[in-house]
Amino acid sequence: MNLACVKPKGETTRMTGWPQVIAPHIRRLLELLAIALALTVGLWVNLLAAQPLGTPATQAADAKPAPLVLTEAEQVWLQEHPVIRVAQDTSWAPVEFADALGEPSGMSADYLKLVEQRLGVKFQQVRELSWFEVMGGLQLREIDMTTSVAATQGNSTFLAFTRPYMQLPIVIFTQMNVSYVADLQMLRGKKVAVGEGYSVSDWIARDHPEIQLINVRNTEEGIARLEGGEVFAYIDNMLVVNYFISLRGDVNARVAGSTPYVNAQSMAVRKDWPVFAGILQKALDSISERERAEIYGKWLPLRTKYRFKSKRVWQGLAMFVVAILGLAAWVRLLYQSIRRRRLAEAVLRESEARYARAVRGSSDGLWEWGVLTNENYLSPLWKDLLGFAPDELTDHSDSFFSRTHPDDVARVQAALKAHLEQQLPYRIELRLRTKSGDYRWFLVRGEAERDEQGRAILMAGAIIDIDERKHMDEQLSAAQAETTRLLEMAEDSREALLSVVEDQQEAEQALRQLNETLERRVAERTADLAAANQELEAFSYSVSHDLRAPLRAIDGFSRKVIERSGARLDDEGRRQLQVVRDGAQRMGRLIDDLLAFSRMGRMEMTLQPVDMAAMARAVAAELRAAEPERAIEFAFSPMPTIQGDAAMLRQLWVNLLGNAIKFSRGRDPARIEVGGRVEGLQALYWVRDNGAGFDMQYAEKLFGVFQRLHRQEEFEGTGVGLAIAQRILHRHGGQIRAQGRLDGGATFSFALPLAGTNQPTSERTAS
Amino acid sequence: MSTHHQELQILLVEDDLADAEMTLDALRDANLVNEVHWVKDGAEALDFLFGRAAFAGKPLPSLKLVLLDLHLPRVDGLDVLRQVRANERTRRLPVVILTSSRQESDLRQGYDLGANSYLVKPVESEAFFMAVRDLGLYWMLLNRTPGETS
Repeated sequence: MNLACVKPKGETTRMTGWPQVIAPHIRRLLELLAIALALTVGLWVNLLAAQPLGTPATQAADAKPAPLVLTEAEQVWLQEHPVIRVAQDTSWAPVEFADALGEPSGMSADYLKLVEQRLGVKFQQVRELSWFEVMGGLQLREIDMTTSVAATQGNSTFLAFTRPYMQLPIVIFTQMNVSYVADLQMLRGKKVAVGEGYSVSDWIARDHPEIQLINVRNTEEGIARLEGGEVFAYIDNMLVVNYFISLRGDVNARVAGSTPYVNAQSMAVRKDWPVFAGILQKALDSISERERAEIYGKWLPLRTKYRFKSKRVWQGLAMFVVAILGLAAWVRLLYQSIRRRRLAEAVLRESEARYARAVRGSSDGLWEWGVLTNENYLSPLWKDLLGFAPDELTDHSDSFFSRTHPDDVARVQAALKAHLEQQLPYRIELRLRTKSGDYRWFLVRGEAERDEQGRAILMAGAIIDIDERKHMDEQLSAAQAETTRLLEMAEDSREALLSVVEDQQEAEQALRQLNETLERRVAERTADLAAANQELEAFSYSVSHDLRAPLRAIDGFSRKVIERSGARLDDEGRRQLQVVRDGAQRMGRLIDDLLAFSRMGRMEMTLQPVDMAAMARAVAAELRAAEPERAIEFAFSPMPTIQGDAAMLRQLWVNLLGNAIKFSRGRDPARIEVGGRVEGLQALYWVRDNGAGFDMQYAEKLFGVFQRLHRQEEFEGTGVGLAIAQRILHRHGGQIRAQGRLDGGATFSFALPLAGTNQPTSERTAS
Repeated sequence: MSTHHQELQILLVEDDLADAEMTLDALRDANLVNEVHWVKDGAEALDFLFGRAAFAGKPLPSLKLVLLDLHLPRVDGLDVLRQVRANERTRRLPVVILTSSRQESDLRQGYDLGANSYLVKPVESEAFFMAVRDLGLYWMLLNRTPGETS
């Protein structure tokens, strides 16, 4: 949609479907409506139109082209070098790229053509190389020149440059959901894609070592990695990426920030050919501003299609269109009713003419007034028109004047006067009071008969009842007024709608900014968390693999020594080797427990009703079976059912009951009480044993990882079990507490929120 | 030395020298060691299985079992498994993963790719020894595969 399609007023689309009999004001109204509609829609579209893609970077400023004059030495140099090999980037559209047929194309290719024209030479094209290979070729001097490169410390060692002839700003692209990247420092620690071998890659590596650079082969790969979320940002020249985006469309990438870098693109030749660089400089200098503008214009990114972003704006537009359509329908109905009335009017006119003819042929409706004599005549029809029988009304002028509506009397008199004195036609519409007392409209016409002096002696004429037509006219003008009012309303509502749209846009803008700020923070936090989690995952992965292997070797080979050479060792030697083995095995268990602890924090939870009593009994039975020689008495009391993750809660019971069994070793019998009850919104459970207990002074330490209150030779263990128990409870929104006395048993009690009130929490970071 | 098994029938793919030695010890205890060919990475395993590179021109082995570690230099164990399953000749070959990894993702992928068994190497050496020995005996003596004359 384009505003240009709204023609100037005079040429507005003709309503060809509408009959020409249509009254001019109706036509005018419809024209106005059409204009209003077109303007509204046009304005709308203009308001909503997406911003055109970035405006061009300024060209290198050299206002006047210098005429190309080569020195003799330069001419000789050109003659001595008939073959000059040029290679260009194949994937840096629109600056330079290989087109569908592999032909070099793009802005710098166009510059190169102009340079060839100016110098009267033809360079030899070396094709199908990636930019990385082009740079390599230049270093090896297998390629002599390239057409678009920015000088860096790195490439200056093997290239000689012309002055820059194109300036292309370098910007930061992110996914659409990232609102703004203030500067490169915001990318600290993030993965950022850059073109391999492109200057910007050198610059960022030099200035921002904190950024994790990912090399990509070309824009396509850069954007693909960006869209795939493999990198947070992609940094490249704005023109190049926008060109790519405009070609592909529907790309989840946007310019999110600027960089201080500009691709000041020069032509470059191998370092040992400085003369040639000078020649190229002269050729470039001879290119006029108009030629530059042409090249630029040719490769400007295509405009993207407009996108309407807000659903609400669509709805607003739809509502407005419906309103306009409703108005148009109403006007059409009005028009039809007017046409019907016009038709009636035409019939009436016909009857009027017929009546005139009748009047001429008969005395019906006729009136006569003796101007001088005041002798009058009113025909029977005249009286009938006012509802009177012929004998009910006297043939007196008063019969007329006294029945004329007071507001019309003055007009009648003035008209009569004008007719009598100035011979103007006497034809007047007026109201006469009928027998019933109502006023009706009549058309009164008449003509005076005059004497030789021109004095009126008699006036004669007729009256016609025009009441119906008159009312129609009134209705018509009321309708006209209504139409005008509606048109004004339409205009008002259009303006109101526009201002609503503006207000809404402002509000949306504010809301969007707020959202973006929030989203950015959330995104940053989430990214941090995800990164931490990923690191943890990787860490535990490598722990599970790499730490176990050497332990196995330590244990395995110690065992081998004991088996094969044990006979040659003394008891102490064998004992020491056994200590080595015990250590390795213990280390293995520590690793396993640590991984289990870590996994417990990251595991997905599936909530379901869990019968805690049944679960505790089952776990206790299993654990007791592992130590059949011990006397253990379990006492279970009823327990509330709870909503939770069955696997995790099972682990909880294993750890708590396992502890109770372990630390009551040496009691005969060991007594373990397990119970629970509902307390407010919580379910409370406990495990009580008559075991070794602990000093309450150290109660807080119990739940720390690797925290142990007993020596290994007293009670074996890694010190992770209670930490895992606590983590399971935290993830269920619960808590755990320990009470005990040294040598007086321990009670572990834990509380869980009852069904419906518990929100599983995720404990994603390592504690 | 078993008289029943003249050819190499077990391929051990293991890059950790200590683990390999302990595995061979256990197989030796089961009298299976003379039938084992040991390669130290995934690429070598594939060369051996498909008669490529150093094994080109040699008769293809008629294996009964592959003991496969997962984290290997050059070609990863899961990749070896994938290629074994993709090849018509080896797609039914019993492959037992023998690894330090108890990572859920490794387990899932291993089974998805058609591993016949997945064994986590125990740190405790007796357990390791027993596991490998029992494994060898089971797959070599009890297990049957299609096309075998028994």
